[in-house]
Amino acid sequence: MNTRVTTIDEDDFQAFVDGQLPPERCRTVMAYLAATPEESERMSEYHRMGEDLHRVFDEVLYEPLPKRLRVETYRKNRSIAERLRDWFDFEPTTLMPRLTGLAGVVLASGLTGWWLGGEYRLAEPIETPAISFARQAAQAHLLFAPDLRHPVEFGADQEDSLLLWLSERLAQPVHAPSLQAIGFVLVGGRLLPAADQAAAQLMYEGPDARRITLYIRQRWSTPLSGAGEKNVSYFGEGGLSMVYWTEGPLAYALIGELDREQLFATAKTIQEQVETPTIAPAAEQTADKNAT
Amino acid sequence: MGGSETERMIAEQIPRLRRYARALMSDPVRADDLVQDTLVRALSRSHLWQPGTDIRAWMFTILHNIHVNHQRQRYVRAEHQELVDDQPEMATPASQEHNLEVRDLARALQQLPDPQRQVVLLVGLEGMNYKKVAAVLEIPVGTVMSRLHRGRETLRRLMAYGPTTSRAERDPKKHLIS
Repeated sequence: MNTRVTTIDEDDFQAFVDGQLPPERCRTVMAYLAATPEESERMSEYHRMGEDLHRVFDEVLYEPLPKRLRVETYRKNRSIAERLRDWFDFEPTTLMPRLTGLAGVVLASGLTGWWLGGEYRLAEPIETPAISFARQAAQAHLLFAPDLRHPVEFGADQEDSLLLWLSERLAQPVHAPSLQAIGFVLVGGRLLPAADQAAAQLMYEGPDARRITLYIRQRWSTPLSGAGEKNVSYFGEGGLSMVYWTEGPLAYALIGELDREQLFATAKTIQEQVETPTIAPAAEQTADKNAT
Repeated sequence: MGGSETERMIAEQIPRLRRYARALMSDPVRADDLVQDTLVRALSRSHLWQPGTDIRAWMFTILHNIHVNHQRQRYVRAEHQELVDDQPEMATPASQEHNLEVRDLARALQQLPDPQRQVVLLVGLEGMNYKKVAAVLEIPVGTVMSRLHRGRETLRRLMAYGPTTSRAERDPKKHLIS
């Protein structure tokens, strides 16, 4: 009885496919497979199955993580940047509460059916033009407001050239409202890309070096005559807030670390100054002019 | 900064957990729910994780436990049945083409009993060794092996990887060579 009998069982086959066999065992299985094409074929099919699993599911590894799957979300003290990013990081399951605050915009956009029906899972996060505008404004704020060295392209000392340039590029007269009465001075501004358009960002600084930005772009829909023109949409979380509205041919977003009242008051000051297109030289004098 | 280091390590595992959950469940939103629950629990219990041990295995164990609890709460059996009824074409081997679609593999996976699917994915997608899989799922290694075999065979049949002539006729259990 010289013949050594080796038993190969199913576990060996599985472990062979998974590279989990000890070397000498592996050699035994390979010898067996070499003589048994049918089993050999089965092994390569298992192998292909593994490759297919990776081919189908590995892309999940590279998908950006939604807010609710990020560790920062569950930290107690999150930075302003993180909080701001969160607002505008729309994902299906958190879309609803945010959109509820924007009901007016959503209704106007005719996008009601899908979430009112209770089924608010979407393959793609959706963005109304208004939300897209708000997101761009927030991103621009995040990018430049903390910048100490080059927060603006043109400083306030070149205000005239800045406004001329921005007006040309936006194809609308752009004014820099004076916010000195409420303690903010113009730092300067810059031109930014916004999808296929140009956008302007004006930056102001308060006495405590706190910065707010005013983001201006062509509005996303044609002006409605009359009612609703001055409606202001508000986002706020933590210490940071944003309001945005449309006025004439332009849309404005104001972002900063202000509380709701301060922000609305600032927005009102701005609205009063931008509502009449030719007001620029006498901006300060219009502060008590009635809005709307 | 031990806390934030653990946090970072936990964060690193999220994409893998997400990939696994996506393959485990047919519904991507529910899959993310599962990962979210896992993340929240891992963060709240991060002090229980022993530095130096395998954090991936620890988090997969948490995920698995949550998954089991969810399943107890929901009537997953019924749901599974419903899914099979929904897609009768998958009850028979798919077309002869080997050219598989994303959906086909995802669907075929859903036809496996949950315990088999878990093993197939932990081994095939996560590349875990059998002992680790046994630890994560809290089952003996022998059970891992038999689930792996059955799961893979079913998938092979559903995906028409090989000839569809019945391999069940022969007994694959023991082979003798000399």
